[in-house]
Amino acid sequence: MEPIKLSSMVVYNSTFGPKEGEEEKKILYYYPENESLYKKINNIGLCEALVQFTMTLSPGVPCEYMHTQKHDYIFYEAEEHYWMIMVLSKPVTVTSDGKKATKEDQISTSACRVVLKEVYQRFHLLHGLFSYIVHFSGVSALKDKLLEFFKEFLSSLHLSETSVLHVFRGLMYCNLDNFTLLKFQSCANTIQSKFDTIKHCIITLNGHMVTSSLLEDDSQVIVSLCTEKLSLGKLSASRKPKIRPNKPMYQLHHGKFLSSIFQSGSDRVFITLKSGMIEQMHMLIYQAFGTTSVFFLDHLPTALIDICKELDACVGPLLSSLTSEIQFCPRINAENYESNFRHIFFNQQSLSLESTYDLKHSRNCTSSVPTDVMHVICDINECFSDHACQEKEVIVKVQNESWVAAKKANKKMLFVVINSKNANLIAVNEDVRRMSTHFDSMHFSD
Amino acid sequence: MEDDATILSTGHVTSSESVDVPSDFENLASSNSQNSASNPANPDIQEEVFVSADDQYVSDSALSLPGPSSDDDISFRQRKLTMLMTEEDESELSSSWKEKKSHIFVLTEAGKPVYSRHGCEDKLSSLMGVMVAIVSCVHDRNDTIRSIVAGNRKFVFLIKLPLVLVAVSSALETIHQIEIHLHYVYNTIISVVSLSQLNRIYSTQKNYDLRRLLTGTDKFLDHLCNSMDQDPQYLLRAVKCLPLAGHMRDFVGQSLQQSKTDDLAFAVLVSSGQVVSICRLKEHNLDTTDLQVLLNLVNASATSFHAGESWLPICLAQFNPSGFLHAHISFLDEKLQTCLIFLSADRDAFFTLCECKKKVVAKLNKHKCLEAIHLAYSKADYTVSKVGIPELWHFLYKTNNISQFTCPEFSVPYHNEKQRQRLFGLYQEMHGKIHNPAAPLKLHYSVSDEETLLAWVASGFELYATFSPLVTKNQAISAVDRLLRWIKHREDELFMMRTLTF
Repeated sequence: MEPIKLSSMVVYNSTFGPKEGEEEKKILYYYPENESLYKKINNIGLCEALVQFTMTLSPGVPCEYMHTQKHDYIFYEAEEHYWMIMVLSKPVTVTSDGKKATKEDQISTSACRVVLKEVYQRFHLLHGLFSYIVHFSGVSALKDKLLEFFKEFLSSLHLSETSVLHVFRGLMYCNLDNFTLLKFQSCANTIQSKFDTIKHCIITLNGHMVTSSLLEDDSQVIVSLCTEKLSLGKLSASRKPKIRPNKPMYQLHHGKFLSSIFQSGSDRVFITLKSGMIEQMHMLIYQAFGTTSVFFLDHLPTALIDICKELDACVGPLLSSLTSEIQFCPRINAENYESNFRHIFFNQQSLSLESTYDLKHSRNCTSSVPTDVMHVICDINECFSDHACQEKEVIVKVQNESWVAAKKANKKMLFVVINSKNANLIAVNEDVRRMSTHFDSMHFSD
Repeated sequence: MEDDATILSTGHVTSSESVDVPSDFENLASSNSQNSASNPANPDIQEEVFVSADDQYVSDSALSLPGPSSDDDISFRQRKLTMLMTEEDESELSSSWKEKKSHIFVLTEAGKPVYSRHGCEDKLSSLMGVMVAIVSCVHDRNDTIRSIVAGNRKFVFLIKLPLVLVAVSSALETIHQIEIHLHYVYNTIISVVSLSQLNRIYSTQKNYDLRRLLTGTDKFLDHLCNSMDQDPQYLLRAVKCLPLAGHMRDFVGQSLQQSKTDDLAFAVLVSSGQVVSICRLKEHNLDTTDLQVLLNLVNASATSFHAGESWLPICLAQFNPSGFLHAHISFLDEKLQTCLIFLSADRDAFFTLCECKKKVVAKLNKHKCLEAIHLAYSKADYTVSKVGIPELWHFLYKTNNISQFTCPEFSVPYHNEKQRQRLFGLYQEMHGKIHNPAAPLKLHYSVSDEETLLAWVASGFELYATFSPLVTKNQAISAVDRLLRWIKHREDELFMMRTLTF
């Protein structure tokens, strides 16, 4: 069976070609690029019609999905009038009587919509708002940027490997005791006060977040970018990153500075400040002693090597002494429990995410989530994410004999997946209750 | 049997002075005689079909099936769609209309309005034009539209050419559940016009206004739509039986058997909308969906059938979508609660069945069945307190093999309409999750501030139970045990375990 496939990716703005005969101007990006102009215009016309049609019956609530027999259309209005549409073709299976049938819901479309949003956020990080680009550099500049961006992005997109963890768009924090964490934070503060060009900084350890002075959304995008590009943390063996190993830009005494992680070679990013302003900054990536730090500079000094040397001399020893004395908190993971227990813990407020699942989903991997369990988790998450849902507890038995227990309280969610064929509700509840004591205010009822 | 039904493909009504014909029945009768008039055999009459100026667009965007469309066609339709969208802006649909929780539209592939649950179809013709244009644009891509989601609002399409059914719902139902609702609506329409007649008309007249055939059917559809929002029978796809002592139900069955005549397919006794007993031909089962369509028809028009005996052609989609059966409908009591229905393949059997009815009634009276039935419905449903489990607030129980369900009446805390609606919404939500085609579940247990809900699908039954929010899992499980034993003990009373055959 062929996996789910991206059949088209479109970015358009209807206000750019309102007149008949000018439809072409609406298209900002279209994948596949070699599609005929005629088809491009037609498909965008259909999307526009759908958006408008849903508006007439549900004003103020934009269109999110269209499901057809063969495709899933996912809609996202990234900025006002700027629509991003992702079209996925459902896998086709051939039934015993030779007929072709489409396999339903291989992947949760809500998970795919999260991917689409993430696409926009990555673009935004690299290039800023669509409307700014158009305002300052014109539509053709935006088209060029989109083309360049998607060329790189689509080559690394593996929808069928979308992990259940993707849905939460959370930050995996490093499990450190409070004292060590404070030391890392003070280290970050030291850097920011010593170097006035450095406005923000993020420190990660083994691919997990330690401290960040950015907003959660930006931190999440940057950490996930770094994790992907620098292959931090665990990556499943089946999919080694195809990208070239990053050549160090400067190999210094304690650590190394990396050249840009973007194919374009650019190191500029657009950061949203707490005030809501968007500022362009330069990104410097420094790796030492298992940590990866990202520094954000408001301007690039003329002698970059000097500031790098200074940073290395200042930060290197700090990190060296910090990492050597790290005391990991006892982590609640598969090792402490029988292997048929897995969990996901997510804090809606801090975006903190903790899980015994890998961020990379792979079908061959034993630790991966079965499709139906993933559906159930996505479903419950959707229900939990509703603001009306304050506190709720759900225990579910999936057909393949796994159980999923979920709890939401105080804007935190806990999901526990148990693989136990012969368990009953009472036994599962016992197990979950024992486990949930490790999480604050996550008490399952009797 | 089936052959007989196929032969009688056109609705035909036999009535005579001695029969009391209700007004709607006359409507049906006249619309059915129109059918035969619009039969393609009479080409001159066809030309009368009106095509008003504003309908022109819509008919242009008709689906052309089968075969792929040429590029010109596609771009033409696409332009139409764009034009329609601009028009749509100008049409003012009232906000109270938009805010209705659930809309159901039926239109033809040419975009002609057939039915709208809320509002007048005529005012919605441009909206329906857009719908059909979207359907055809997706069709041009060799694909079929299923649904659109915008926030909590779902747009679900069911394409049953020459008809297109669209539901717009902001309730908790899943897309799959809404599709099933649309199937019910479709089957109800088919019950009036039959599939073969529908296809025959539209094979020659793409622009035919189906409302001419459906005069008087709106109230069946309205009744169906309202019931689907609150009656578990459509959610569970099962019927509810009137609770009646087992031996009494057997007497009723035996009485129905008395009606055996040639071409009689089914005899059904219904009381206050609940099935009492069914007698059928050995080789034919009365499908649950067909039975539900029939019951809806009887319940929606109880007042118009009132005293006397009515004779009505009806097409049961599962039984035979291309032919009509003929229903002999009569009420056996003053209060119009108990209704006897015969379904025959013979269009001229009316008087034979009148005789049958007398026989059945005589037998029913002999065993005092009608008194028992009267007593059963006058004491209404049982309450959950009868089960004797204090923490159990409400439940739905469906037996899978016979597609019947039982539930107590709503009691505290579900005593007011708002709470009842809320609980029904929760049942819909749980049913949707349990039967999610992507990930079907076996058990769903959820605890919220207001109640604890358990949904459980086992091999022979489905159970949805509502408990107090403070119930422990141990208590809930033992309560379910007791409930199942309670139901098993009363199986004969709550369900129709045996159907007799002629």
